[in-house]
Amino acid sequence: MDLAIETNNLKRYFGDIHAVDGIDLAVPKGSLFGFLGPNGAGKTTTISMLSTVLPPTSGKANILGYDLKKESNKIKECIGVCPQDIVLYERLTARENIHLIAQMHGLKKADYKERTDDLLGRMNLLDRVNSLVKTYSGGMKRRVNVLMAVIHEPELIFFDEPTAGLDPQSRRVVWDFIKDFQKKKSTIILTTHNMEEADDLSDELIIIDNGKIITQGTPSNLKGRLGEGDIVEFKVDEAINREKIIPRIKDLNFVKWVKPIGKRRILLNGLDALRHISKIMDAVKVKMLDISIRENTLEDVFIDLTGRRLRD
Amino acid sequence: MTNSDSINMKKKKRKNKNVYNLYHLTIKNIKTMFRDRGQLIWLIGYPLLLIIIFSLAFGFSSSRTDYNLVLFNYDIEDSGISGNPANYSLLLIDILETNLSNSIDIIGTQDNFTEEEAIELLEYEKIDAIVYIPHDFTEKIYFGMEPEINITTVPDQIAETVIYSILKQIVDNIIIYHNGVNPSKINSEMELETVKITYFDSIAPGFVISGVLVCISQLALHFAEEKKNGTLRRLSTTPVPRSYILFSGMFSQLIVAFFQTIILLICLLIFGAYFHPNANILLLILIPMLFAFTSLGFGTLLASLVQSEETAGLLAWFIILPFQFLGGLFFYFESPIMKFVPTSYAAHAMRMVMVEGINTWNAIGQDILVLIGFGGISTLLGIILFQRKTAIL
Ligand SMILES: Nc1ncnc2c1ncn2[C@@H]1O[C@H](COP(=O)(O)OP(=O)(O)OP(=O)(O)O)[C@@H](O)[C@H]1O
Ligand SMILES: [Mg+2]
Repeated sequence: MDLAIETNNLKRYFGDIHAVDGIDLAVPKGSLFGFLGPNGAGKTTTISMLSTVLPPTSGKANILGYDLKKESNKIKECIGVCPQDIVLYERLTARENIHLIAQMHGLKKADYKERTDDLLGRMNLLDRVNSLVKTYSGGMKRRVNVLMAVIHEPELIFFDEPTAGLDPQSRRVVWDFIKDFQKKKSTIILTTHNMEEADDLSDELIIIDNGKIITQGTPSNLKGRLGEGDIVEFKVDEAINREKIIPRIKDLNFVKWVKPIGKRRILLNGLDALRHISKIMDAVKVKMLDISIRENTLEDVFIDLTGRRLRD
Repeated sequence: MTNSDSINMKKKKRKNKNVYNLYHLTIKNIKTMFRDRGQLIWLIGYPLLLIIIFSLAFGFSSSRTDYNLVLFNYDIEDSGISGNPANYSLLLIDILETNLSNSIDIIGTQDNFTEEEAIELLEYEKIDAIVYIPHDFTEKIYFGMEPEINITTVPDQIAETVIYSILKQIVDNIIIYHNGVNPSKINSEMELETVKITYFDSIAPGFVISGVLVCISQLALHFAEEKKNGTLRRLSTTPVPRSYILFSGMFSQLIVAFFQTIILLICLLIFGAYFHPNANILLLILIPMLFAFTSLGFGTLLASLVQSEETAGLLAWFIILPFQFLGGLFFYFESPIMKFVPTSYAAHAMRMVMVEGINTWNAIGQDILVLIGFGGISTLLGIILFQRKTAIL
């Protein structure tokens, strides 16, 4: 299989902080590859290294057949980066910002002019296209931020949380956008905190925690590892009570797994056991609060692996 | 997507890409700069403020108590008068020099100046009068004839009267001492076409230089802003070489310095600063531009070292202020330290051309070479540091 990105024990330390601590990646060409992980996991740091702006502390990386250390100039020709923070020239218009990136890639005016307006139109930005970016709302800026990564139609695009802070409608526009590029055989790296986004879009994803990949697979494949069926989540009235009931729940037949999370929450797979659980709770006089039943998500995968939520 | 064959994009790229990059980066810089009012205020407002302050403080000639003159004494050949050892012209000079109560200083004679040089000094009001003692001065007193003295003064009625009456009084006393009867005749005339160079005039060229000097801070601020906003990092993900990003910053500052120079020269004209009729306007623009290049070298060094706009703005003034004052922009002083301050060379060259009207290589060539040297070295160091120090943003 042709790989767009291949890394070998890639590391980046900031003093004592092991931001990225030995990552081995194999991203197939043309795939949409998700990075999932809590704050500070090392997603942005990894992207910074792969997009040539941050030198790794150690390890190797090959991007589109070019060596990251020696051929970074070649790599820059073929990538587009949508940074996590909004990075724009505030005193340029949206059009000027986007044109600048096209020009830096050496595109001719004939090649980028129409396309820019086309993209701006799709992002519903055409009516404000001649005002300076500093007068835009946060969501408008974020949409421009995305367009600057794709105007030159790169082979490999990094989207670092492209939809953070967007309303559902704009978010959907950006998703369509990303899917479009995937259809056109661009390879896409996408980081997100949004489970739905990761689940819907990714062909394959990794979950990163503390600078390390803790699991990898397709979304359904990862969720499948938790077993079939829905997830039950509830809260108990007192933290100490949780200790009492967890061993009992574990003993039940239909329960595939049980996880304590936070101080008072319990997560379990085994809807059919619910009736029995109520009985146990009644027996030890523990109250069940906030109960919810849902399909399992990638977040549950993360909880299963780390005992923590992705976001608290 | 309007274009579906994304992989083919590469083929359509420009050949002379770096020039193309440089051009567009420069345009971008200029646009962002001119859309920032604060920066414009600095560029023109600061030097204009200096011009106004100094023209108020030093623009007017103050009243004088001393009159400087150059004296040409042609009454020094042997008068041929047998048995008379006295030379009345020497006596006159002696009295002028030793009598402290009068307000005349002889700052030169034919030993130091030619007549042409003296006239030029007078034209610029660097002296107040030229006194000519004719060869027959002693002879005429001796034979009881009417001795003459010719003076040329600046077009200042008070100066003319004071100098005339002092000379008249001394000479007449000499005549009386010699038992003479005929009073002397002092022919005085005023030189009408003089130019008074005030203190303000002499430091005026320095204001253009101090205006251009601000580009140290402008460049450092520009890159600090790009670092802070992450745009420098964003540009680094595109194929444009980092040195071109730096050059584009310098270029746009040079373009700004060009307009700044022209505006400041016009301001100086409006404020009545003196421009020598021979002053070469091209040099008056070229010298500040060269100095802008020198300053940008220092700005580059600074830009490569600082991360935040606050530090950049502050540190820039740690360079700008010593450069202004130690470069002698506002106060004349002689000190070996000036040799190490590029501003002094720029100010000297500007002064030569603008005030003295001397446009020759001999007069300003050294200044120009030093400016290029300072600029070249600091830019080179800056480029190296900028590439390295900003690698990790
Ligand atoms: N320039 C830096 N200097 C020091 N530490 C850094 C630097 N950049 C990142 N880090 C640290 O590296 C770790 C990983 O940060 P990174 O930004 O890669 O996380 P992330 O997965 O992108 O998180 P988020 O979801 O919040 O964006 C964090 O602990 C962060 O504090
Ligand atoms: Mg991040």
